[in-house]
Amino acid sequence: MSAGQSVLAGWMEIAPDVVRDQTHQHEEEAALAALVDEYASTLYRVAYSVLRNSSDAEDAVQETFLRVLRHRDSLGEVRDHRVWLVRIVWNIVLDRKRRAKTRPETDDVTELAKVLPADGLTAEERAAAAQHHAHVLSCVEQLPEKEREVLMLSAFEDLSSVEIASVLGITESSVRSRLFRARNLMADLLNYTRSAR
Amino acid sequence: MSAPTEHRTRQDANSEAEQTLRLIASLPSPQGIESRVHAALRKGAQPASVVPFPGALGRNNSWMRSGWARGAAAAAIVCVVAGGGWRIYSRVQPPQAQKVVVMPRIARPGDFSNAGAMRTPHTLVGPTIAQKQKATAAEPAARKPVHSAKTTLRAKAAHAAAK
Repeated sequence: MSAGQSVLAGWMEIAPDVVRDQTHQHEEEAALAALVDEYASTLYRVAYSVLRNSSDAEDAVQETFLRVLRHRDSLGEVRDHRVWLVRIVWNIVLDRKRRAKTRPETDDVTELAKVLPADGLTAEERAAAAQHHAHVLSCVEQLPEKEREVLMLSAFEDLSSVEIASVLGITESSVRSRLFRARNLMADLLNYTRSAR
Repeated sequence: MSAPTEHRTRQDANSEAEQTLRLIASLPSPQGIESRVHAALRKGAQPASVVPFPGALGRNNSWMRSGWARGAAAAAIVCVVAGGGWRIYSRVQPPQAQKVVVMPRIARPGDFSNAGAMRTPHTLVGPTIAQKQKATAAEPAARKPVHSAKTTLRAKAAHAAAK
């Protein structure tokens, strides 16, 4: 084989080290599967708290893991997978909610009545509870965006203020001050609507 | 007494709101969500397999294994790419600059100026007034005698005296 031919042959063949190692790929897939098993439920609850629609929330969870799949090379660099995943799903649901503003809003009362626990409650009590929760949620919707986000994330007991700060990309002191403002505003809103009734 | 009551009311309102949010945050996820996500991932993870070029044509293709055939294939690819590039280059040429420069019309004395406009619309040609031909030096006899005011007055005075 001449020198030119050997150069051409080398050019046309893909070097074996360029092809992804099969074992490494299997390891990544196994790590991703473990993440799904561990955090899919948490991510669903985060997504549902914003979207309040079960199928939309499940779609958001699937989209989150598809994004992770696309960037699986960086999985090893992530320190806290839970916070990282919550951050991804949080951004996805906020984006979806912004886009969904053009669509008619879902009926909170009907949706809540479907999902609320109904142990020991009559149909009337269940409807009243759903109505009460829907009213509280409508007050939450009236909060400014920053305060609302912190208040909603603080409802997740397994998320500390440091983790909330990490999800939102702000400092912990900002989380605390926003939470304080959100609580004050919520109290005002609920008292005002109660006295108006 | 009203301050503690108000304080309690605010606290109640807050606890109501947080209770609702906690209730929603603690709702159980639907059953089988993990398996559905796994299925979506399997569907989404269609691996981009990299196939070595000669191998894609079959390991037993003897003509592809020889060096000269690979060289010819590479040369053909180069020719196709270069030919395509030349074809595009020869079709798409940069627009040439306009060679003819139209000068702006210069207004003659007495005309309206064009105010520096590069192009002016063609106007209708109206009736032209015939210009009186100026007497030239070649025909001085045709010129009428010019009487000044002074000579005319003198002539009139002489005419009146004669009467």
